[in-house]
Amino acid sequence: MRNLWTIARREIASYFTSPVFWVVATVFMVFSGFLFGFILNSPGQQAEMTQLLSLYSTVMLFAAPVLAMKLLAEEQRTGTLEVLMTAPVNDWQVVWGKWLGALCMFVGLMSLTLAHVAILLRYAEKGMDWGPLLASYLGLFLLGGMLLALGVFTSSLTQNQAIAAFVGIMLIMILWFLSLVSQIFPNGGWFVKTIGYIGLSDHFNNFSQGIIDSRDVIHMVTFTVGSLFLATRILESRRWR
Amino acid sequence: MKSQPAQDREVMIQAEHLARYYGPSPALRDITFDAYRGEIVGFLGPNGAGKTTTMRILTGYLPPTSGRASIAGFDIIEQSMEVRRHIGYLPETTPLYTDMTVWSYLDFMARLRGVANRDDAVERAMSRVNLDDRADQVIGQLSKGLRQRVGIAQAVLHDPPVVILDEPTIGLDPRQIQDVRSLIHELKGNHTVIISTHILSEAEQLCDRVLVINRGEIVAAASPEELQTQLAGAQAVRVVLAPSVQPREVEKAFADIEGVAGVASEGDGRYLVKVTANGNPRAAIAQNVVGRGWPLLEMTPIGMSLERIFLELTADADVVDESELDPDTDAGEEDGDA
Repeated sequence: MRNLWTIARREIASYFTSPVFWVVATVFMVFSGFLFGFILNSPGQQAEMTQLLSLYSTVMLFAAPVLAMKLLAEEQRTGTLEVLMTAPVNDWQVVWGKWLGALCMFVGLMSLTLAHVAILLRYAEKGMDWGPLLASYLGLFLLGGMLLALGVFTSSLTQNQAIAAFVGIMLIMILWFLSLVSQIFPNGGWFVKTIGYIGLSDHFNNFSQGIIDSRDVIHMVTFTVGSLFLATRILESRRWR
Repeated sequence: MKSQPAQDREVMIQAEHLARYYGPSPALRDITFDAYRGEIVGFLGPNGAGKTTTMRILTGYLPPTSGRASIAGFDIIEQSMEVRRHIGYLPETTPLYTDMTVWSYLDFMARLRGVANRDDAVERAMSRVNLDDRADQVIGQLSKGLRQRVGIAQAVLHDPPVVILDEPTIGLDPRQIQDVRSLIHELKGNHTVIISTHILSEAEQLCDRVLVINRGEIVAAASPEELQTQLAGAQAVRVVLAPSVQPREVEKAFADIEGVAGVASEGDGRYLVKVTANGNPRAAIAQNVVGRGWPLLEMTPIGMSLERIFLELTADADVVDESELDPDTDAGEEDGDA
């Protein structure tokens, strides 16, 4: 556990000196700020934070692989992985520690949107519907963890950060559109339902409606653990190749 | 200088028949050696000989395809975590996190290694490599020589009994090379140090023992002094007797002389007497020949330069034999014979 946090801490410190992180953070803040202002100022539009968060989550589809791309690819390119893997640290601690570091940065980024919540709260006449909001944040957290884990996985595959990010985005897009399969074939059998379940987008939508369904939680946690497990195995396989 | 006989000292590294295949092609065929406490052992060999692979196996980064090894008594496969606690390792490329400061990097490594008194350990490691005033400098802005020192500091941070440095002087300028060499020299005694190099003089200067590795095998193991002896002295002696003397008798007579490794008759009364390392049987041979009343026509030491030994050893994996002896000496002697 101590090793995990040591590695996570180093990752967090390294994000702050990384231009990529500041670009991602800036793009995210500009985009979410713009959306917030736009929706707030549209006449007749309900100011719903959950709807906004669901829009913000689409930014994360691209941002997460970019945040995660360096985690293992860069270590493999520079050879620092060899030092890590000959220190008294387990491979899984390296992988999970890096993921944890990225997740902390993600949470930091997302917590900036609390400013939007605060603004809404200031002007809300009927108060805030807290249930769906909290569920949305929980969904966002789980989604972020899952997308970053997929990013860690693609980052373990290559020494090239750009390839890691690109493959990560492609993978996430494919998973995202899998959800559409069940919409295209609404009367499909178990196969279609299974494909639909694997897809990403429906699960987050439930959260933004205030529904915390164990199926959605299990889906995201499974993807997270599975991706990190695969990344660990790929690191281990370097020893045997 | 071998101050003590090997059997009196504690074995820190034990490698037995290590082999490693990448697919069907062998990177390491058969590596067997011991290293003792306080000893500096050099892996000498051309690039691609298997030096790095051996080091990676010892550090637990790569498992061997076959064979076994232990470090400080811990098996490299079964007790990998213990092994990792007992080694400090600097890979060839000196991989460091260039975005960190010297202090934060060493602190990070100390945390990972579970060093108890972190601040002290980091400070001590930095002063050992003369980096005291660089604590807050970003590693990416350091020169290659300074980075090498950071890498070595990282390897000795936790005061491990075994330090493994892969080509520690590669890519440095002459002054930096001297710095790093004297650093390594200072490690001697407290740590068992393994370095790899393809520079002969470096191995001579630094190491208590040199293992010449070629094509994944140890082709020679000797102290630099022994190598030096080979450089200056004879490795073989050519003896020419009157052809009337029976070769079988000569072979029998010479074989009992101390320092003789083997005798080969070349016909016409010419014999090649191979000499053991450090041996100098020339006087004994002469006495023996004269004592038996055999007419001695000629006796010539055949020298081999260290460079030549190295080149020949690494040209193919065979042990030193006659074909590797200096042809110049050979030719000059032929004239005298006529």
